[in-house]
Amino acid sequence: MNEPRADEVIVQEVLQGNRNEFRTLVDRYHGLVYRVAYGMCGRVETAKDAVQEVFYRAFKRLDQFDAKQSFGAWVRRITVNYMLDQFKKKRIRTESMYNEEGEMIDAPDSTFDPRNELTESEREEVILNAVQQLPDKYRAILILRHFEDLSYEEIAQSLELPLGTVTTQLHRARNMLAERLNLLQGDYAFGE
Amino acid sequence: MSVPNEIQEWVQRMLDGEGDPPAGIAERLAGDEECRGYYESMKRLYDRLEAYVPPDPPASTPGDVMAFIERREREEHQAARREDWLTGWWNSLSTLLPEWGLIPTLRREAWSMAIAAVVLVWGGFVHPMVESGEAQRLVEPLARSMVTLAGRMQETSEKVSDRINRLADDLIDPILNEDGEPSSNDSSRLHDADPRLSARAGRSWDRPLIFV
Repeated sequence: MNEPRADEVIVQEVLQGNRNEFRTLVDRYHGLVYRVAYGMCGRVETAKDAVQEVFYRAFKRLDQFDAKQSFGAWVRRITVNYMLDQFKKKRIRTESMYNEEGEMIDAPDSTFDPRNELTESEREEVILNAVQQLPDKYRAILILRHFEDLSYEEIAQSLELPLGTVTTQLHRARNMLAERLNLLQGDYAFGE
Repeated sequence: MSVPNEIQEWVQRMLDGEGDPPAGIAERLAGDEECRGYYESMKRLYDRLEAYVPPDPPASTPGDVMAFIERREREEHQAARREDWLTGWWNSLSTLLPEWGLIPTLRREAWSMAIAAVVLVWGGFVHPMVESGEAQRLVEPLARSMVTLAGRMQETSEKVSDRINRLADDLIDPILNEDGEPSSNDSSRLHDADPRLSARAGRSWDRPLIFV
């Protein structure tokens, strides 16, 4: 049985002119790109557009791909940067209820009560909505940690951020999320 | 009544499997009710996040991506060709027109500045004046004068035309017989009336004179 070809081998083939081989990379990583994009924007159509744009950028910059890292990590970084860029340029509207300094600009939605019985899809919707309301940068880190299961170190590499920044922003993101979901009991909110 | 930041960060690091807290923090986590409460809250959040399953992309996504790349590549190629074509035209014009003496030699930057100046003047002065009706007030008397002038020019032109026709009639009528043919010995009268025709003296009529 044939071993699947390594990503860097495929990249080399594409760079040598066999453009159709890029389809193999798209087949392998479109799920990853879609999940990250969807997690960051919460909309199917926007996530689909993002997948196309991200792979187009990857295709155009394929000669900049460094074979020392994985293709998945590279394309994930392009995805996060693309989404953050779109938020910054206001091309994608976010539901964030925090300003750029991380201060809340809207009151928590008191209609959600964690004691209520919810169906699985309702629970997922509640979680996704709450994630959408985080500041853009926090949301990206939280998604990479929880939806993509990356370690702090991998997130720091992926987003080119210091490890301390990742730790701090992840900590704040979770506190905001817990507060949003009414999961915090008592006065634990930020401890600041 | 709040859990210190340091404890909160350690709680999260523990739940992430990113290391064990130092002895002092571990003791506080074990003994302090508030810290334990925070730990429980975070644990619930982690469980909720873990239970979340992101949706799969539509099955058509890889095909759509490849079609998108192809389309964008084609558009870029066409845009590059348009750019080449325009640059070629620009280079040809900027070389030939000065050679033909049609325009002075100007650098591309000078043309850009000239165009920018026109755009600025239009956008800054002319267009707002047109929008506000100011331009109409300024242009209206000029337009009225132009109409009057055009009327007078037409009048003058009609008068001149009329004079020429009458002069033509005066010259022609006496030398034509009833059939509209020139009479044989009247050509001298024509020469008398218009000295320019004297050069034709002695020559027979080879074609009729036509005044238009």
